[in-house]
Amino acid sequence: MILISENLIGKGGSSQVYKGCLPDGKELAVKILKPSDDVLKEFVLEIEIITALHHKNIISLIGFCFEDDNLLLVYDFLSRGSLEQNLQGTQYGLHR
Amino acid sequence: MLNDDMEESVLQDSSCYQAADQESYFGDEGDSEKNSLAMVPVKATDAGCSVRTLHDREVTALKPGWPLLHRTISSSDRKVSERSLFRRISVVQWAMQLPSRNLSFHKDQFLGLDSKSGALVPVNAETGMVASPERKSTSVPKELEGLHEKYSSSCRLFNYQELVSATSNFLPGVYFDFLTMDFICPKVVFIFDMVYLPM
Repeated sequence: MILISENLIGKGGSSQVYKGCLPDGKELAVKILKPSDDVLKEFVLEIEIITALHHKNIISLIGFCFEDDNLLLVYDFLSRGSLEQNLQGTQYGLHR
Repeated sequence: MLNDDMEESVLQDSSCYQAADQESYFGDEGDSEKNSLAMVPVKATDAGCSVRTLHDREVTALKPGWPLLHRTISSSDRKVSERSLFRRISVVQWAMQLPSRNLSFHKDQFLGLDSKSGALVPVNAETGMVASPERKSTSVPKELEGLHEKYSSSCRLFNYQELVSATSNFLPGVYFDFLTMDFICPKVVFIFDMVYLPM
């Protein structure tokens, strides 16, 4: 698991995901897209696809944000471990 | 599971409103965050909401305080009625009701609370969007035009500052659960660009 910091919960080629918490206590996963040539396209595409999908294994998109050059996607926060942990059924594995 | 989640978030929402009512404190970001949704409520339904959105006619029509005193005093002396207004609500709430000094708005415009500045701003009565001139002037890329409208039923439009503070300025350290050593990966990331993530 690439866990750079405790609050940075995921990192990919074109984005970083942070855990967040709204003042009302609702937990979020905030995905920040890195600037790139296709970033706008990716942003719109991801919104399109995720809002079209309704499945218990696919986290739902709560909202998004585009201000200035910042493109952010906001997901429900699921504290269920990584994909690998879920696949192996070792949800509370200690490897980081 | 999904239903549970939804129910939970509904509960959280209502508790948030309750808290806002009880504390009568405008700085509750749970509510200001709702406003930043660009869905500012345009009708005042209860005491908690009336602070946030007031038709400008209603502002002058508000006459809280002691009803008996009102009848004798308020019609003749407007200052007194304003003072009784101060007593009913917190100073902060009162300040929120003051129109911005450099604000010019038409008689029929609605007022809403701007989540960023905390000022009362004109709100488009039909869309509930904050009719702020700066929002109009910022050029939205062609790809993003109409995005919010298209997904307004399922997604909210977040304010950048709101997300900055939600994630503690995207800084580490606050939320990780060391007891369970639990960390998360939103599963959706595996669909897109994080397939190689776990090791």
